[in-house]
Amino acid sequence: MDFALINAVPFVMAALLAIPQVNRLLNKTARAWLSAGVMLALFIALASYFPEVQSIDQTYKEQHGIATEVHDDEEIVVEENQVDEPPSETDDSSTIAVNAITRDMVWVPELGLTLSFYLDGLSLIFGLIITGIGAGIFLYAGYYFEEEAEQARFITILFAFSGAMLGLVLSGNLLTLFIMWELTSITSFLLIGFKGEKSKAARFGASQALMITGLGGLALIAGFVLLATISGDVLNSGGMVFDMAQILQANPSDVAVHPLYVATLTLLAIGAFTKSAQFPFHFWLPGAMSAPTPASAYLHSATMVKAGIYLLLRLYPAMHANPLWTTVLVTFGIGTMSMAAVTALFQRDLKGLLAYSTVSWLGALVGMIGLPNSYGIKAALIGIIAHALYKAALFLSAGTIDHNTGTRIIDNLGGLRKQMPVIAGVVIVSALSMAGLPIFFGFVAKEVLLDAWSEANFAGQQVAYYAILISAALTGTAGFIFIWDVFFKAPTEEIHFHASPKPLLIAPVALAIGTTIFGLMLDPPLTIIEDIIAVGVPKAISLHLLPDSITNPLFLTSLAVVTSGFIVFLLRRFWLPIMQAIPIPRATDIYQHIIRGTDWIGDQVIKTQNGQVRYYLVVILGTVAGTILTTGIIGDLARGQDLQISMTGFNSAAALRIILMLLSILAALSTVFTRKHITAALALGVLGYAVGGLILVEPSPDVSLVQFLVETLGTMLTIVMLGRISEKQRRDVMDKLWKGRSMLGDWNLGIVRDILIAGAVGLAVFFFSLTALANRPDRESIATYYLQNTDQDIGITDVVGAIVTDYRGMDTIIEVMVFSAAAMGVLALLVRGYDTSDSFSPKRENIAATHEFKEEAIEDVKDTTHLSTPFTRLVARLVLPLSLLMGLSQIINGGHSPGDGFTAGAISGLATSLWFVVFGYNEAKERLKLYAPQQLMRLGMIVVVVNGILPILFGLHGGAFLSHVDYGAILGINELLHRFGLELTSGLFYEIGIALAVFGGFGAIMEAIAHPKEAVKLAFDPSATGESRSVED
Amino acid sequence: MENNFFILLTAFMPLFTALATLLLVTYNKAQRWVGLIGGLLTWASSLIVLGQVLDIGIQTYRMGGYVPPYGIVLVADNLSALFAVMGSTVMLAGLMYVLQSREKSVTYPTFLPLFLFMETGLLGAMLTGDLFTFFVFLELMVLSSVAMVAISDNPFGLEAAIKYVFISGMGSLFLLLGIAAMYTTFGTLNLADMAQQLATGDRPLLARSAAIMLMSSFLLKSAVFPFHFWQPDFHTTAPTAVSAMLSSVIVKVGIYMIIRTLTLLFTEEAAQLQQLLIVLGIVGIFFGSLAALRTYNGKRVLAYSTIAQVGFILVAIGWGTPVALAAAIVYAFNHAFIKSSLLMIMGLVASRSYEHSVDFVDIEGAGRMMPPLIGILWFLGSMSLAGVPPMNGFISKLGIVQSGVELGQWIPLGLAVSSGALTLLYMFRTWQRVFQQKKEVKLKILAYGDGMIAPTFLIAICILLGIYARPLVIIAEQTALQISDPQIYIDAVRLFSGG
Repeated sequence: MDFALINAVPFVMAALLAIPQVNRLLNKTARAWLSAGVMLALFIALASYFPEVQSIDQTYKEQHGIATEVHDDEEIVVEENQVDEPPSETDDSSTIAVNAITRDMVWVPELGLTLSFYLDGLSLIFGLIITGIGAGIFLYAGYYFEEEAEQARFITILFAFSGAMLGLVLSGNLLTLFIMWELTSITSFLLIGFKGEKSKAARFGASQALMITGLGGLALIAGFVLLATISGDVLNSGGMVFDMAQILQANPSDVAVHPLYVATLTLLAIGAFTKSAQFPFHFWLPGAMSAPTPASAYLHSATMVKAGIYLLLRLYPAMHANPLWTTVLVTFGIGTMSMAAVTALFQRDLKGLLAYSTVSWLGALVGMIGLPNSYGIKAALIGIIAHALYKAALFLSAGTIDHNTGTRIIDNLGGLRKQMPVIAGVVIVSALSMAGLPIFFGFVAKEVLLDAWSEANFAGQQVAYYAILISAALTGTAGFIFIWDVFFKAPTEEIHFHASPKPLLIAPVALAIGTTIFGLMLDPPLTIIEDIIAVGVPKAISLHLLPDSITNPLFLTSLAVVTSGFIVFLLRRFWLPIMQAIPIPRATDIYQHIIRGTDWIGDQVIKTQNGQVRYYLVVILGTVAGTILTTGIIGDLARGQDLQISMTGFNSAAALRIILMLLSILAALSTVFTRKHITAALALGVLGYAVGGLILVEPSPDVSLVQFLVETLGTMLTIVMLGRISEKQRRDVMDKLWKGRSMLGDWNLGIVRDILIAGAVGLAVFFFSLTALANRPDRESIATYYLQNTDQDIGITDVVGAIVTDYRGMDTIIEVMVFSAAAMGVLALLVRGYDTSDSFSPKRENIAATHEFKEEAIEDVKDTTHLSTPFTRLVARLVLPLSLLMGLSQIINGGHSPGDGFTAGAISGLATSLWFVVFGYNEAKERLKLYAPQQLMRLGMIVVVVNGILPILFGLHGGAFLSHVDYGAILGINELLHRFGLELTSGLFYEIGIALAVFGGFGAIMEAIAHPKEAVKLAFDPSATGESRSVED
Repeated sequence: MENNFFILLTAFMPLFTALATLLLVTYNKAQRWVGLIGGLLTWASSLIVLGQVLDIGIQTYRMGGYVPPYGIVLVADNLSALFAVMGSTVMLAGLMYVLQSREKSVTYPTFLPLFLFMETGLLGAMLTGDLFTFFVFLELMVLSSVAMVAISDNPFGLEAAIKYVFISGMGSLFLLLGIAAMYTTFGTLNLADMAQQLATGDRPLLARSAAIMLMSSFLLKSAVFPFHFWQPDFHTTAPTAVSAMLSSVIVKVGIYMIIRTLTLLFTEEAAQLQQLLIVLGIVGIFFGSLAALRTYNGKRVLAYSTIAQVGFILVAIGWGTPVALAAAIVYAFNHAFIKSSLLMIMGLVASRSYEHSVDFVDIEGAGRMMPPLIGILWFLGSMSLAGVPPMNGFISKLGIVQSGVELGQWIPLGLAVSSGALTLLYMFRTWQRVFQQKKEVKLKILAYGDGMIAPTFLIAICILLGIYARPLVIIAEQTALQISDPQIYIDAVRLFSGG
């Protein structure tokens, strides 16, 4: 099976198991064994690649002059001679460029994203750990959960996680690697928080882990893009290079001197350190111990926390040449290691103890990768394998203990060797391996570790070496504590013991066997382990389980370390209470403070959403006016040459303009200063009329007519609606507004602010208009074209009409729709007030507490007053037919004189609303049986649109939407029509449609205002609202 | 052919459908189906337009057959066609949601016409080549959305709508002043015509002020800090189907016009304006993310998050190179799908919660009792919003990071990227709150609620755009190249040139 496919298998498994129908086919046992079998098969499949990887590696090393065999006595010499072997110079075409098997699938090459896989010795080692240990974990997990649903869900997520983890170590592209990296973060979030349903600690641990690793992910993606930039520069590829094989070919000394190196290293280190729990990001790992045990065992021994280690190892060839590499990695590695080794000792939770000892070991690994000249690579690889074996076994044992006794607290445990002999054996083997006792694999690991650190040559090596010695000793102590306190010490209280299913033992036992025999596989006849490690190290190695002589200094040091660890263990009754008494700030508390601090900032930020429109408007207007005044307008104005203010040519029109302007200013001021709503509305109307007058003087009769009508409609609607709000409420609002603000006294800050803002806005607009005046274009505007061509193009003389119905007919269509949409909205809103049959009431107190919704809409309805007198009735009766006639004439003559469909509709609408006011709803309705405003509105909209579509359907006049069509000419009746002064063009239909829509829309609103309850009936089909909701208990 | 019929169809099909639904006011179910069919046709038509634009170049439709600049012309270049596809796809999902919605407001006979009017406004605004017509389409979009929010089931909808009418009115005023200034200056309303005159390098008076006015109004419509105040209220109180549209595609109209005007018209002023956009973008990112952490309601989290996400797009526009513009386009496109799906998922929760609300007090732990698909969809959507692969949000993030690194914009890039941690925090905190934990207090929920087809459809698109991201990225890059040269657009419109 191709290794790219191997990577896909866990994902496929996860996807399949995520389908309930598939998952249901399996029972609990089948699921456990099947999943373990799958992982084992993957392990074997991956292992089958070993010969190929090995032969590629050998060829590669031969071609690059790296010895593949060393004699034992030469080893140290060889290592010292192997200084910085830059993997290759690409000009030599005969060499194997890549020391790996690769597979590429194009994905998004534009972003440098290729789905590529890369299998070399390093990947293979990690892949084997993931699948091999995975097989055991899956089996364990299959029996760990008692509820089948939980087990099924857990295994599904665990498959997704394993897939991501495998992908991470097999990917041959930085971005593919990143994708897998993030997937491990997300899936581990689910695994750590698996018990989050009930446990707050689990939720917190999961979100803390996600935040820290997520933060690292953000740094990592930036770091990867930077690294790709560096590689692109170094390899002269003219872009970013994300391909792993190419990056690893970049000359490390070129990479090291690139200006972006420091930033890249920082970001990559943050990424790796967060994932591999290095100080100061280490705390998420102990926090994640609320995960179910199989998850802890897998994530925190063999897989997820090793991702950062893998990344550093992977990038070592490209990045190591800068001394900063050593400084950063060794400093943080050693620091983390020492801190965690001490902390582990006074953990009372078994899993906490294991977590901190893991952190400690991860620190040692990071430090080793930081060692110059590849000194630490071999030791790191051995350490990774050894740690994966013994730590997974210990975690699983801890889980089994927890499973059987219900507790993981060391103080409550003891004497379990009789009840759990197998687990006791496993723990003894694994913990001794952790402590570094010969013949276990951990012994080899510790020995090469000490070797690497004692031989490496860098500033501060002495300090680091002693830190390593002490930490190694303390790690041993932790191992002894586990063994003794759990299995041998007399229990302080009685332990409720219930046995676990036997298959729970399989995985720990298998791991313990691995710990025991792996060391033996370094020497002939079986040198499998040595061979495997050899392909992961970029130079020749030689490994043995036992030293050639008892007096080997390394061997003696190693023994001394274990012994001192044991002594510390024996003395623990002296130091433990002291250690526990020292208050040490816990990193997770600091994290919580940061989160709380962020939340606090969020609280402050959200206070700016205080729910007050006037404040919102102040900010918006202030911003815009300020920007205009400071950046744009003044400079523009200063450039203006033509601006001359002169008072010559004063005539009656000018006088009229001045009067109208004064009127508009007065009206505007009175809207602000009057205390009566009705007066303010009227003043607003006066302001509108004054503006209309100004337009009329221009002269622009078309526009001013529309302006007058719109003002009339607006003022009328405002006043009618005001009439529906109770006077008391309106008075209250005014009193609130005017409180403490008499016109001359009490100049509070609010008023000053308002005046400033209003002044700034006014100034901005003033300058704006002034500049516009100075800017009258001498170039030809499209208006000139219209003035010259309207008659010829469309055959009418009213240019405004031509623009509205033809040149810019689409604007008009949409405006009709805007008007109708407004009408429909208002209608629905008015109607809804009476249709509250199953509305629900929100919990106002909850919402009020957040300050985001402060102002409440006022809704209180008063009956309309009747103004019905014989005189008004007569007027109303006269006005309606007259205005309808007027509207008709405006439509027909729209092409030649002011007025058009809009004005026609508005005038008719006004007359109709007069009827509603005068006769009241019922009588008006009765008298106007045919009057159905909503239908009229719809009809108008349809006429407008159909009129636009007709030319397309019949291919008239070029067949474009909204083409001008002279239907009279087509039908051949133009002569007849012209005799009556009529025209039958698309423009006419257009005006009719507009008139109907406006008339109907306005009428619908008036009707709803006049009698909402009736309008409900008109607007609704009762059956549409009859949906029932059923309630679950 | 002179006129590309499908452009017209894309912009006006929703309008025709709206009229059809108006004829069916008493048959609510039929209205919904007709609406959906109209949405499908619009969608198909927008896809055809995009295909043609990519195949044979920029397409136009001259209204009434009049030659621009004297008549109105619809223009579909890569940018507008791509945005139109985004709009029509999300609106299609919206119509799907409407079909299965149990909200009362959806049963109002005017709801569907208004919804379709909103779509016309959206697509028309993106496809028009005329500044004033843009304003008209925008007004249609705004007004119909206001009407729908006002009649929302949520009683605060009315209040939010009123506030928005005030603020949006202010934005329209800016826009009108800007248009007036442009008309005074250039004597034309046609974008290509203005661009041609601006391309001479001559900067008449008012051009700069006009640019500021227009930009302010676009920023206001896209709810960019400090023009954002109306947005959380307005977007969260709307009926679910509407709020999913508002926070995803409707806010993109402003974005679209910012890109359009900066690249086509104000190429000289761009440098100055872009600095401003970067600053506003960064502030918006942090404002939105921090506020999203602390708000009290699931939909509001998403609304605040939109402020932040729009900030990312602005930062990329601010960088302004073709690569960065492509990143901005990809980001805008992807975000539309992510945000609309998430809002719909919250709508699913709201429709099943006893109070019909997504206030956390009402729904903490309620998600667990609902169909598991809802929680899974939310989880996937959260991943996408936080930019976690393999979702499409990752592609967006990658584009931003790459363009930032390429330009060496370290500080904005660093700030933008690190804010991703906040996104993670607020999204997954919400997931834990609603879908993971179990409340001790016995919660009551409803057995039935809104249908899940629409959000599933959108999340599927999010996954698709993440795994098969290549076409979008290629189109975005082509688009960025195309808009980087205004002359291409000007030539394609074929203005009247004498004779």
